[in-house]
Amino acid sequence: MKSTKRSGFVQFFIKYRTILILIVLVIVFTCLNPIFLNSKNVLNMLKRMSYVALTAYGITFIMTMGELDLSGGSMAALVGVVLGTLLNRKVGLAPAVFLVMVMAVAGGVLNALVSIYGRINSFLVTLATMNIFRGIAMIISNGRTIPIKNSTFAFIFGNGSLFGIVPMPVVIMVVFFVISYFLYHKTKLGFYAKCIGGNVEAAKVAGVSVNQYKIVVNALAGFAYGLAGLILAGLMNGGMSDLGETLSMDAIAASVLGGTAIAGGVGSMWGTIGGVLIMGSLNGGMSLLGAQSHHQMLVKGLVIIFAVYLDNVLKDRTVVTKDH
Amino acid sequence: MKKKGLALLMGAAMVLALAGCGSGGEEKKETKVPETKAAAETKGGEETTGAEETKAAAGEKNPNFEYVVEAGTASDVNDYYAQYGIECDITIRQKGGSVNWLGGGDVPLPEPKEKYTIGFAAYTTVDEVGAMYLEGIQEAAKEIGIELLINDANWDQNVQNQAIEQWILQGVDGVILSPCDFYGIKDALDALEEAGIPVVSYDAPPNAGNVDAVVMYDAVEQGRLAGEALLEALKAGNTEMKGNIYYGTLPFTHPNAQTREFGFFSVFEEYPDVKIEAITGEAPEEFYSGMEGKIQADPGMLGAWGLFSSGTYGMMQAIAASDTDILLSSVDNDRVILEGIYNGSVLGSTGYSAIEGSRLALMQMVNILNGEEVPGIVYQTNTFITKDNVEEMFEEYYAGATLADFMAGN
Repeated sequence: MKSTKRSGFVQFFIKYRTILILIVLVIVFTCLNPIFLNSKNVLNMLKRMSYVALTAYGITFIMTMGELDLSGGSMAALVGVVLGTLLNRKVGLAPAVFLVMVMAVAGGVLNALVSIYGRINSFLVTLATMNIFRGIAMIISNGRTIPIKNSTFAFIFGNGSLFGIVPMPVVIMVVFFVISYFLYHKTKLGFYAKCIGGNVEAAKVAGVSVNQYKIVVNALAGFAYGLAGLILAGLMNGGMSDLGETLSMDAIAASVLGGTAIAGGVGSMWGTIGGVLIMGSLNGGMSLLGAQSHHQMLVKGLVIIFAVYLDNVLKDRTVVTKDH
Repeated sequence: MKKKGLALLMGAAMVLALAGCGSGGEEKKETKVPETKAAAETKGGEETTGAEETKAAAGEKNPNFEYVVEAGTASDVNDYYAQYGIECDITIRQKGGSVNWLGGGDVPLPEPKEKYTIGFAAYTTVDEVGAMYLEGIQEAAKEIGIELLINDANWDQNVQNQAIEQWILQGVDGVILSPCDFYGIKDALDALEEAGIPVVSYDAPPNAGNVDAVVMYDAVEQGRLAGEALLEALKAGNTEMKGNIYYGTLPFTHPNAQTREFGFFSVFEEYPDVKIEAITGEAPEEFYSGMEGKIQADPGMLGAWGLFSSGTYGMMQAIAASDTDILLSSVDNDRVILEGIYNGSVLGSTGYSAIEGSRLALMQMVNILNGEEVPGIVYQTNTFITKDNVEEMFEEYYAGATLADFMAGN
């Protein structure tokens, strides 16, 4: 009986771990410095989480399929650099944004095609494209920051705000969350992504066109990285080849924290946004307390280990439950 | 067939987007070196009185100031950078002229009129220079009772901007900063301006946004001094001025790197048969492997130059491993470089004191908060360190420590 009770608590904690961790963090940081919950600080923190969230939405789809993508941060940097270059060459904002988004989607599709037809693990493919995309960004920019001085762009993707209150990157984050949630939980795309990640052979037997869905999911992820790149460039007022170096890892960590299984087959968009909020709260809270970046790296590392440990515990519990 | 078509289509889309960027990557670095504004406008030291006066306001004629641009005049860092092809668009609000600092590490700190809280935003504090800046400002703040809030952004401009936004909410009196990204800092500077919070920048100043005052060093001079030392050593060895010099620099553009390059290149301008070629990287091991390759491919090279400490250190180790006596000049004064100078593996390095820089930044900030008019720009002292003065300079840069102790592992 005792064992069953403990099991119930553990199950409850595992099920609601993301929100529970987030609540604890908010309480702790607010007690240590009440400015943490100041509305302006919250909106500023959300603004800085927005590009991680967008990347994490894409990563969640990819990881759900049992794949991994390391190239998101590099693509985000490339998007900013190419956009800056195009704008400086008098290309209009709309066509420039369209072009870079097509490029970002193409980058995602390229990852999928090389992985599928080259029969190379997606981790290795994106390890390569991570370097390729950033290398191209460095060649184009010659290592320089390419200033973007387009006020419309700055308003939409940088420091503009809706009704003078909500930063535009937060609006984009929320809108794309709704779209991602719908695609992930309410359409065949999300369902098949979980099937493929859960058991790819079974999915094939069931008639799922695995390769086709892999391409679509990677294209979608590429789109998300493109948006993240636009926001990064907007916040920085320029395209820089060294932006987003830790973006993919932060997004993967957030997705895992939110319950996306590294082995694939399981995930949730609510979990992912929860994971992003945890990572962002940790960054913002520790910054407010004066913790330095190396301390933040240490804490983030510990949080990731904790998340993976929980992931393993969850899997073990699932197996036990099934055995029973 | 469809799949191949799709692959081609995606490839074409990427190429199309990239094609718009054209020849951006082919842009070559200019090697022409204009005269520095600081050098052109130096008027020589002005005699001043009141040596015991600790206030450093421009109007009060601090004896440690040598006026480059006369007191009461707006200073302009934009023209300085424009000469070296760096786009800079900032306004320095203080109109106390520009000065060279002559007082070394002994920077007098003014007494604060109130208990001030100041944010210190560093691009990093975990390399030797960054750690010394932090240590210097912490000690200086303690000395005069300033509350210091610290943020080490580890080269992430978003992290730095977030900290500054939080400091505004916390109601800091002033912010001392060195940007991670010279344009990306603009929004944070705009927010500080809107909140009426004064800003002093140290190390290289921002290239966008407005600040109250700047503490910087003449990086052109740093490169020039390193170049002159190498040239002198080559001449002393009766070396024919024909061949390659390799220098270790960053893979991305940094104002200090560009300006140091200009200074170094200027020294060899009159030697058309001397080619100066870059080895790029960030970590010492990248310069080690880069230099190792150059030593194998070009054993007759004229010499080498580390534009910053990681470059020097990696190249120094590669030269030592190859058992050659390639001349190596440097900029920066990390302890391992000073040890290399003492041992003869580095012929010399341009050094500057991070402690001096941090104290100058705090001096400027407190004077501004006290309502004084201060110089818009304070140029720190550059010193070329050789075997003759390395022990002395070690003690200057690392107060309370000696080179002998460092070399003994203490």
